[in-house]
Amino acid sequence: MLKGLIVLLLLCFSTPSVAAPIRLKDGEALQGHFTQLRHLSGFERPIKSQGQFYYIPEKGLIWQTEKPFNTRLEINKDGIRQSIEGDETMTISAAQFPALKTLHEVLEYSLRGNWSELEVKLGTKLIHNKTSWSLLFRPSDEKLSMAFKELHLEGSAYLDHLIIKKTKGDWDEIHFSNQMVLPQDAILKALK
Amino acid sequence: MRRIGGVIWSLFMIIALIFVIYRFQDRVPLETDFLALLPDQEQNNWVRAANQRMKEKVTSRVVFLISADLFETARDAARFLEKTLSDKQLIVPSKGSTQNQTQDIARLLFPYRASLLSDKERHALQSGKGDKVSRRAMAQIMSPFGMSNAQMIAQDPFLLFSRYLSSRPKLKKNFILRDGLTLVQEKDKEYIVLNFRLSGEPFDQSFQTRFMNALETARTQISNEYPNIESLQTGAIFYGQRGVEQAQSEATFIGSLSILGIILLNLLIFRTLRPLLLSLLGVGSGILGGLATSLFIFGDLHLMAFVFGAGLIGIAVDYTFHYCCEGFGDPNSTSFSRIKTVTPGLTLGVISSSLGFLILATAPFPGLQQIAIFSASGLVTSYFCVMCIYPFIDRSKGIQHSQTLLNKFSAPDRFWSTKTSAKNRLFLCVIVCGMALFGAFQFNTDDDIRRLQNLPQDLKQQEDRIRSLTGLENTTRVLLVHGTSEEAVLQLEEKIKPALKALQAKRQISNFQSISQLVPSLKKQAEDQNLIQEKLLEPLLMSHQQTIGLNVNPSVYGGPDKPLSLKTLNGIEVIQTLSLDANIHLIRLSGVTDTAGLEIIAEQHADVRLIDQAKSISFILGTYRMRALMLLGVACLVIYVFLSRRYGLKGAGKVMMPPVLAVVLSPFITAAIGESFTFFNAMALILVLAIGLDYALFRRESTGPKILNAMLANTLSATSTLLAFGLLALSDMYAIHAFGITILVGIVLAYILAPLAAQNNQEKEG
Repeated sequence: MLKGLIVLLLLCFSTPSVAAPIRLKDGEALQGHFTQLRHLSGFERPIKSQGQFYYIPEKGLIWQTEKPFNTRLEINKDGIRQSIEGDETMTISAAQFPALKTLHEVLEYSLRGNWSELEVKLGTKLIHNKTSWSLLFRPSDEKLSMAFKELHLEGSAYLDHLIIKKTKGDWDEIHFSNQMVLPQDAILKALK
Repeated sequence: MRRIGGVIWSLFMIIALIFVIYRFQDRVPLETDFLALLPDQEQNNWVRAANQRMKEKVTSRVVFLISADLFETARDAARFLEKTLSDKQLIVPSKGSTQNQTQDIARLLFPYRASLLSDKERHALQSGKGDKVSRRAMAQIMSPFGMSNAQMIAQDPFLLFSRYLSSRPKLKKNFILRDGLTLVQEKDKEYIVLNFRLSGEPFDQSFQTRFMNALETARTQISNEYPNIESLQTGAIFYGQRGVEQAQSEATFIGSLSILGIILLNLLIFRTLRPLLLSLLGVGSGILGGLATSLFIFGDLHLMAFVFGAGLIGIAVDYTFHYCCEGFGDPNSTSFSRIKTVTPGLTLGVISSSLGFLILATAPFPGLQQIAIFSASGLVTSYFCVMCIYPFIDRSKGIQHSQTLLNKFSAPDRFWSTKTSAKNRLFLCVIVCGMALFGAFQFNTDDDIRRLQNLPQDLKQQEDRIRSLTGLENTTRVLLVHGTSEEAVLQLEEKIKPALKALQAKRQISNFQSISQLVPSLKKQAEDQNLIQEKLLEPLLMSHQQTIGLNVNPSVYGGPDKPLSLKTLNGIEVIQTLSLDANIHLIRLSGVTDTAGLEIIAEQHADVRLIDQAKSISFILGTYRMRALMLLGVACLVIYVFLSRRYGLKGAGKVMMPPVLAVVLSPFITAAIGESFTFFNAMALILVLAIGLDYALFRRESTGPKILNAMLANTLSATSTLLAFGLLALSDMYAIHAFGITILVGIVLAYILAPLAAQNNQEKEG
């Protein structure tokens, strides 16, 4: 009895263990909600947008903005494509902007939960806090630093928060929530 | 008389020698660009000027692709190559990298953003959908990974400018820019693309040599200092240089073979060096005289014209043969008696040959004109050398060892005259006619420049590889647009743009690039400015700025500034490439699968022209193949009239028969052995006519025992001609080969048929 109490007490007072990031298995995909704030220097307030995101390992990231209006953005290893109601509005190829490739890789590894690979890739260490972790990446390469000065990622089970600091005082802030792992087929079906 | 002639001839030779040495001092005045041989068929001055400018631009380009295991290695090697070539002033230093150029374009055009519209935005505004433009900009601004920044959005909240820039067509594959260098990628391999402009003439031999030497040195150094460098190269200069190299090596091989043969032939027949030395003087003086005359008239001489022309002057060897053979079997023969006997044949020969050549010169074809003037003036020089110089420098008597020789070489004559060979005659006729008939069925013409030019395989492969890697198009097809002013040209470009877009939709072309896509006409700018003002800024700017959180600023797009003009983009490479002249622009086309639609556009607008180089050159070759044949016919007629004054209509006909038969039959006989008939074969027929006519004339002019001398001279002449030209059939260069094979067949025929020109008894009585 006493033994049992001690165990219970110990359990209550011990520091909670660090939440293990969730890793996507084969055939799995990630879906969630995002809120994005773009802080542009000289603007009165940040530009806010919200929507759903889908990460499908083979296809890349799909960014479906719902507010203030519907737009869809796809980012994969080839580059970025944006469209409004099927009407293409922007394409940027990764071959022309090497920074895009890095950004895609960061998103891919972090959303999948492949943290150790990301650490190797970026040459930085994950910092563990009590219930969360964070990662800070400042590119030294000129090609990358032209596009962003700093990437800051925070998460627990999933990636929760991403900050992209750009040049000239601009920065983007993205909050992820309601993430859930679903079979890849289910998401692909829902997207159709 | 002869003495005066000799003095004049000597004076001319001295002047010619000084002139030629003077002209060869700085550089070799021989042109090697194949296209320079061809006529400029264009009637319109502006098209001609544009063609000329385009040719300069295209031929002065060299492209290198450099790759290595590490980008840094390839980069250093590329920079080293560029530095070496520009330090030696072989290339024009580039004004900056493509990256800077793109940035420059953006920087220079940005102030004009209130009057520049992409097609899509214009269309949206025209149909009153300004809100669509606004939403599209919003979407782009909201995009988390977008490239827009605060500064850009504040000055262009509708992001019109980035839309405008990105709507410009990209003809090339995706080039990657890194460290100021342009790269292309294939699989995992990266290639640095170097695109240089030569600072000298790509077809100038001395420049070629300097360039190739410098390149060779640079390459050796690169392969020593940078490991595993792989490189590809292309450019007109490499083709030109290879052409000269090939011509030289072939000339050395075939040339030494034929010179050896001719020396042996001379020694065998004459058993003395004298005739050889005399021929050398005769032909040498002819080439010198001809070269001086044509350099004086044309400024430059084409290498091909020199080769053909020198061949024609080689006819002068025949004059020496006739002169020397005249002394056979006559112990009392002196140089004066010999020259006297051969004078009529020689004079008739030189006049009729020169007449034939000069008729060629009436064709507006630079190559033909050069050949004609070069060989006619050279032949006349040789003629005077034989007439006025030989008698004074040649003190020899007749040749005694000769009777059996003479008898041997009269075989063709006996073949036609003795009854015993009637069967053989019939047999020969059947064979020749049969072959010609068979050939007539096989006969086909070929004017395709791509086949006839016979480009070296390794260079062509590198070029194709570079093209497939970079997507750089062969610029042989472009549209030229002309107008009275820059504004007119730009407006015309805009006018035909919808038609080009339609062709794009029909996949007749994959894309096109014009200046007006970067710098619209003033008219278009004004229209777009109004459209932007009325349909976008006035109704939507304020609310748009508020939505994205900007301070409301109605004058963010600036006031009505000066309009954008081409001068603003001075020094930008695309503009320099596409603008041939203030009044002539070109529209670059890529992926042309069908020219029909382009031709229609050109037909509908007098100031738009489709340039299709390969096609037009092939057309010219075809035209001039026909024209050369026509002129050949005219030459025959003129020579016939000239000869009929001496021989009468019937006699002249007999003299003309052997060479004309040779000219008519040889194309068919060569067809029977699988040769196509091209412009170059037609050119060879001219030589067949000139030489064949000489055989006939000398045979005709000789009587009694002297017939043997004439026939010996003909035999020697035919043998040496075959050695000199027939061997050209061995050449790898198609043009030269075609020339050689026709001569080979034609001369054999002309030689065999020559006795038919003789005067028979019946004719004498009549």
